[in-house]
Amino acid sequence: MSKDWERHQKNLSRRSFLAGSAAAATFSIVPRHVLGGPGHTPPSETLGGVLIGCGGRGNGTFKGLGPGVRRLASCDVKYKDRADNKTFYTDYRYVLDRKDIDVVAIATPPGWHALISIAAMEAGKDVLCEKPMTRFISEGRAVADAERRFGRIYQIGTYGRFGGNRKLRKIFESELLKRVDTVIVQRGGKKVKQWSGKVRYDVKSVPASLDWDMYCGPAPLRSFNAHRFGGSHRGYWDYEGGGLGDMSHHQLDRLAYEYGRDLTAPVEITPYAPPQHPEACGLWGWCELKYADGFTLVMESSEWGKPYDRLKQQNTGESDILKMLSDKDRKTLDDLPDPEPLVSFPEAVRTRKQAGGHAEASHRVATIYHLANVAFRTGRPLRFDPDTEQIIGDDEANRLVNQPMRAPWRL
Amino acid sequence: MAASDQLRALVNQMPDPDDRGMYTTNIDKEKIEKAISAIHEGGRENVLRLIDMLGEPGSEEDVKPRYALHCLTNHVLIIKDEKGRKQLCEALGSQLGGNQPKPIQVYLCQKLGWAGGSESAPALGKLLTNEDLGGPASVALMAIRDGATAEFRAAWPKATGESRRNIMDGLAALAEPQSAELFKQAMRDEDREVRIAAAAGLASLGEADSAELLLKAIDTAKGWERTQATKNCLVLAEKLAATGNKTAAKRIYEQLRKTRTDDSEQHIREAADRGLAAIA
Repeated sequence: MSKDWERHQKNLSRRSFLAGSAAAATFSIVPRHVLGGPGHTPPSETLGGVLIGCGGRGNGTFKGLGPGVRRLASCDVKYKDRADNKTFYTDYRYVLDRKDIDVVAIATPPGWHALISIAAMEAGKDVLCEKPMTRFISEGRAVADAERRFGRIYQIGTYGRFGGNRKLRKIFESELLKRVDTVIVQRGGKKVKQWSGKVRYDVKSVPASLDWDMYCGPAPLRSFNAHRFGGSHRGYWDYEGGGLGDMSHHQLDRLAYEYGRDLTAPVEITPYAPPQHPEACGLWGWCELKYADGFTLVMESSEWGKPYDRLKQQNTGESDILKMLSDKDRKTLDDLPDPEPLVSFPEAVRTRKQAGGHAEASHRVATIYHLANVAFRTGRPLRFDPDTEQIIGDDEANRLVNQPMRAPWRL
Repeated sequence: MAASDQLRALVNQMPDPDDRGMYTTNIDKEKIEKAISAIHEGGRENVLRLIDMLGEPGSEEDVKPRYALHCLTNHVLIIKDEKGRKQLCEALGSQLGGNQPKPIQVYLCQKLGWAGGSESAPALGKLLTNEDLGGPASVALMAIRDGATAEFRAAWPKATGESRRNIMDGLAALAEPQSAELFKQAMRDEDREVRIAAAAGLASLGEADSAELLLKAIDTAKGWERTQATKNCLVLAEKLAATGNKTAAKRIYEQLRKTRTDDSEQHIREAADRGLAAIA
């Protein structure tokens, strides 16, 4: 029969021990390999990790979990021939049931990002998820809800905001500006042609090692076309959003942080693109996204059609923005505290502080490029309500905001 | 119905894929839109002829008709032609359940999921018990929403295997109050996925009298089902708290706090604590 203190020790989870130990002083003399130090990570600070989605970005994403994370398992739908449900898995639901897994790195195609992130947080794990965060807007809301509901750490796998201008952030956070006549035009860098899908393709038999049904997951179960798998999945609406979906999170993360767009979304979206294919992501020209306060963001592909010429880029720098404030407001701004430095994923796991690229902020970043893609796909201007996160007066467009999933998958 | 020469000529205005099989060169927006507009003017007959032009997905013969049919489906929404939308969807629906090859019927379900309204629900509903088409029909009905619950409920008694999962999943996604009793019954189903879907639907309804059933589900469930059952209880508690039923919400949070005793469920106890603090 165990003593009371033994039971108490057992009831302390590894994570609560780590959080508590930061504040507690210890005077015990312990061996170096237990204590840690340069080149030594003490066992008590080693977290169990799993990589879900072991393709191109997988190992890099796993490294982002930080030092002291031991990879206990790998999960990928291509491991059908070696899955033992101990070290290799094809179904993330089994590996998330393991009690020795504390942190999860997700590097699957984005069609799975939301569902796996949510399931991991429901199981009490912290999550580092490769970009883009999601496939559509409702997924992002559900991830942010799970982060809040289960009190977990979530960090998107792109870090633009960590190098962001904190002075700019401070101005926008202060809410001293009521109208913002800033126009930012982003040109190029979206890899639109590179991440297009095939409209003509050969249907092949599914490789023996691949669980194709699980690969398709919440998306329609289609015949196997090799181009839908292994990186080029980016070109299909079923799994991602083309070059716009793939590259925008990198580009917008810093901008959303600096210009205070973490808790809101564009309200007017104007697209310029040819009619889109139902399955394969294709070409587009530009999209103008306007916020309620007047702040306007334009994304131009420079890979199709006429250049954007509706508005000129203006007032984007710190000094431009400062000029929009009155002398009194500038004085008020000086008296306000600077924004807190952003917390990295490893630090967030250790301290239980919210990570810099947390789910709510990442969801709002993703909403920008999702709205652009919805506008391209529907071929019409949209009005969006940032509070209800619904497109106003367009039921059919909302079907792309909250896309039904193939059973048994649901948000 | 054989395609007319005129329709073939219009469909031929759609872009040719590049060497890689992609739409990345010579994409002429105005040319495409003009041809689609002309196809639209041909009404129902053109829709049926266009469907007949569809081929095996991915094949050369399929590329242009597939793209044209999608553009046409979207065109009626862009120009806000409600009469044209209904006519198009009725034509799409008329080809379901018949002799069209299954992959083509799957595509038609997807087009109805894109633009269909309540008028399309019966045509999709009749596919719900079909082994191959029940999934796509279910997804389309979830997108349409209007009139979908009645179709799911009507199909449920006749459904078997995968169809039952699709239907319960659809009902859970729509989560309409008239499904409450069915959810309660389905929580005793032999199929784990049906039970999980039913519980999710019940939690979404946010009714206080579901609390006992959902809490009980955690005690019997294991693994993935237990995780989902726990989430359902938290969702229900949040919904009850949001509608002012603090007593019922408090009972769920306290029960979770008391019974989720494993080390790995610390986050659930903490979630319950936060819930209790929020309604204190």
